[in-house]
Amino acid sequence: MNANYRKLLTLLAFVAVLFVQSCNEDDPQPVKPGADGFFVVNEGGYPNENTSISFYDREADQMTNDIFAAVNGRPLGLQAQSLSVFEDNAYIMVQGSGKIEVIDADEYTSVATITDEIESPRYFLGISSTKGYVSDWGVDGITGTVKVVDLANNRVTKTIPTGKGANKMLKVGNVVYVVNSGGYDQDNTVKVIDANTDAVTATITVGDNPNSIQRDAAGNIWVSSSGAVAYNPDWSIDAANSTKGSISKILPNNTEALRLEVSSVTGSGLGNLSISPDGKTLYYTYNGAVYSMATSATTLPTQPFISKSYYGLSVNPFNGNIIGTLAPNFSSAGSIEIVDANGTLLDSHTVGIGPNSVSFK
Amino acid sequence: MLHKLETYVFLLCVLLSFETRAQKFSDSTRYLKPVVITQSRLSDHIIASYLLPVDSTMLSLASSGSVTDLLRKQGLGHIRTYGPGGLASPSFRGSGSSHTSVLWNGINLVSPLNGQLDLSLLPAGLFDEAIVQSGGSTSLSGNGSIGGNIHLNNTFHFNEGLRISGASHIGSFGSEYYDAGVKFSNSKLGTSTKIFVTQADNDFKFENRSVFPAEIQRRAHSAFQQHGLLQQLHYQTPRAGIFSLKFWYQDSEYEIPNPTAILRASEATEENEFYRVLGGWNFSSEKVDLSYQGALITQRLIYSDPVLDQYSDNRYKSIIQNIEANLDFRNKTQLTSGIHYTWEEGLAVDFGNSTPTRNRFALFSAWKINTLEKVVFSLSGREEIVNGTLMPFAPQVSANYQATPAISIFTTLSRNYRIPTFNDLYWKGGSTRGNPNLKTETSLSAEAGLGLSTQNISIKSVAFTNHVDDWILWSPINGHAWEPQNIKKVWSRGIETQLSAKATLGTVRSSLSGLYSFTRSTNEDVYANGNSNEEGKQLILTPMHEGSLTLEVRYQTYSLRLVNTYTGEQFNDSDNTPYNIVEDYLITNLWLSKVVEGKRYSLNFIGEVNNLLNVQYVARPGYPMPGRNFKIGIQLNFYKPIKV
Repeated sequence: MNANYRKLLTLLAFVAVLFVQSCNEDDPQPVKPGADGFFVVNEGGYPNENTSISFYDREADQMTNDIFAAVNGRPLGLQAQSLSVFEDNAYIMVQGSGKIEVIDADEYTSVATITDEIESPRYFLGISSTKGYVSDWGVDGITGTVKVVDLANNRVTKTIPTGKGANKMLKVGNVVYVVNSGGYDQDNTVKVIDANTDAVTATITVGDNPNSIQRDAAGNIWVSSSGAVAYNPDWSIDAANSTKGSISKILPNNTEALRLEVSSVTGSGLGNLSISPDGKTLYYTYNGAVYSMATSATTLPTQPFISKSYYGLSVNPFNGNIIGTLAPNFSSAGSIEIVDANGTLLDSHTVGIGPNSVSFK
Repeated sequence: MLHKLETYVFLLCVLLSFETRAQKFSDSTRYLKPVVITQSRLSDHIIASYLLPVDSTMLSLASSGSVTDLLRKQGLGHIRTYGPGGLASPSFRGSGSSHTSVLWNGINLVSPLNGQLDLSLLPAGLFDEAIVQSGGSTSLSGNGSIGGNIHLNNTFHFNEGLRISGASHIGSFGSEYYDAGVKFSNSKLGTSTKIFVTQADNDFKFENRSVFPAEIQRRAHSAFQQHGLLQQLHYQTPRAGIFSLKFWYQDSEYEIPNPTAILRASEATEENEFYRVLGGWNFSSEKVDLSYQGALITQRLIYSDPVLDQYSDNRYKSIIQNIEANLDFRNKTQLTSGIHYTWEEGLAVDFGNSTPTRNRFALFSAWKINTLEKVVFSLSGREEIVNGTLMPFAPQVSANYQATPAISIFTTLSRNYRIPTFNDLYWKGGSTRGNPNLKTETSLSAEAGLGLSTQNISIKSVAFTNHVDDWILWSPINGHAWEPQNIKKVWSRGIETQLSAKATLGTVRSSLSGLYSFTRSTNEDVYANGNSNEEGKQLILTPMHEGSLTLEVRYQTYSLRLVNTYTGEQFNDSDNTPYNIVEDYLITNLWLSKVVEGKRYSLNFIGEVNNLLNVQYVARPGYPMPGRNFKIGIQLNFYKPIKV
């Protein structure tokens, strides 16, 4: 064994040490749970398992990203759609994975994963301490249902067929409204379910592809519908075969009293209907902007409230600030912006990939 | 399965106990000077490239697997894989998955539909030679050679007599491989037939952390089955040269598993069937070589997912013709020029009612100058016309300076390109559409290196830089439809190093070799609707550090090969957020083999332990890799040389 060979072995040993060292780097950052604030749901980009949850601590004015994986030491999955806080837990609808992750709302630690009977979950609605509703698109994206979940043992006990693309839900007393957003097809109905018997009691027809639902101070129900867009072979919009986005006002007796349509068909339809804490101002996104409208209005506003293309929109139920999410693409981090009721930008924070909504604790 | 394994081990022991006859058969045939058929002489002009070592031992040890296994288990280049048996595409020097040209005897096998070739569809045992070249070279290798090249060749010898071969390998997770071959050649005629069949269940255990509490599960719906035939015919006459015909048929059926984050079972399957016929003629005289190659390739890929009610039938046909003249001037300069013609047609439901075709004519020329004592130059260029449109000119300049017998310095400058695929141009489906106005991607590349070799040690290092412009990226354009656009600009740069050392201690021969690459491959421009945070960031799923360390020890008829491959941390997003990563992994693979040689036969016993340290890892998020697993096999060769 000559001197060169020995030198070489020394070098190789050195390289080996570098390898081993580089394996021991990243211990997960400790996450300090925040007491008061909101969660941000980041969809991530398919098929990369990089969907995540962020938490904004209001007191510390600090956004902590990727809290689920950091606390639980495992990835959240594929495409989280929503998070709902109910009693002590947060229910994360991981639509791409076909599962619900239940975490402790304060510590973010895993409580359970619900997989049986769950196919393509969208939203969660707490009914009672032992019962929750989950809207689900079905594997094919059109067999929409509401799954009844026993919250004591985290099992699905019943499946209620509703319509294509069962989406957001609203609870008024013992009645639950479910909007059928069309899923991978189209639909134009809102189903009314008796939360005591889990039976569908009424069907309300609204504009095509209803996606969000709110209740105003007067007790009327408002539904935003994106409209159904048909395309020509060259991918320009086929206006003749498309329907416009709309907002419907539904009276407590389940009749549609008003349907306000937008003036033209656009590729990005009307959605994200939200309401101010006093229940008197509606906000929605349409054609790359945010619009605001009084619940007393009889026409749609023509001027945007915020000329920004938010992917998701929420209203802080405590102070009325508007929180818009920005998802420039689905391969890198997005952000959220906090805007006051006058439209003034107050703050912004970097979050995970593809943020679509926030939900308050 | 276990029962089978036991029988196999028993058989292996019985065979190993046979008395070894150490007589060498191979030397007796060498003096006949068999003719080796070469298809194209363009490879003569690769004088200053960074080649990754694939020796014949490695090829033989990997012959029961695919080219994916050959490259991954030895740490050659970066392979983006969806798990064992799954889709695997190479990435050299931080390039994209369609930036490597894969040539079979000089014929490009990359699909004109998607610009990729799944390396898992290439059985390593069908090839006699594999050359892996880091760095693009469109002038010599043609369209798509932006990051690297893989050359898979079949060599042939006349006057070798009869040779019968067979191999049988079985391993963990239901893996089986069998092949049988007959070769015969005299001074005029040669024929070679090889058939193979292989399959695996790939139902290995892994910890699924997509549920709480985590569960140890078996990978479901991950099996594959593959069989094929390679037939070669060769005929030579002193006057008219050598005629050859190759026919390769293969059918593969795959189950496509879901990523582990999707909890329902997948029912998706894929079937890939192809026919590749390659005819050639070579005529050699002292000064001029002429050659012609004509190939017909048809491939069909059927994907079906009954759960999502998806079915797609994608087919393509290519006719490739290559005429080449090679002139040698007193061994001082060599000129290789020719015409390359490709006709290709794509058939897919998602092309609507259209059946896109294109005609591609290319003129190429390469000139090697050897007149100076220590310096070799090579100048080459390719100009291609696709359906009447001129492609960017692809020139290349290389030089190799042999400073001393031990030290050499080499450099290459090149411009390379990749033509948009049929999918990029014509796709019409769901919410995605092709863009018929796409431009060709181009790259400007430079590299310089240093080689040092003594009798027992050799070291080679290269530094490279590669700018890819007009990189085609699919992105949403109006909030609804996805469309490819020439918007991405990527700058890759880095270093690659390889070293090997040999030592003989008594009757023990050993060698130690290492590979290391450092790759920075970054987004240089923020395109429309992009995110400014991505500028200057490492590309998704592109490790910066990769390396391997191989120890080989031979003692009498035994040999041991121990390979450690290291893949550094990779980002799982495009803006390099610290928490979106795929963790690094160091995998150890071990081969043990013994050769028993007789006058007329040789038997090779191979035992293989993959992932010796049972590391739990994912090659990409949601696609776990198997823990420790085993494979054993026997390769038999029977010879009957020709008496002269």
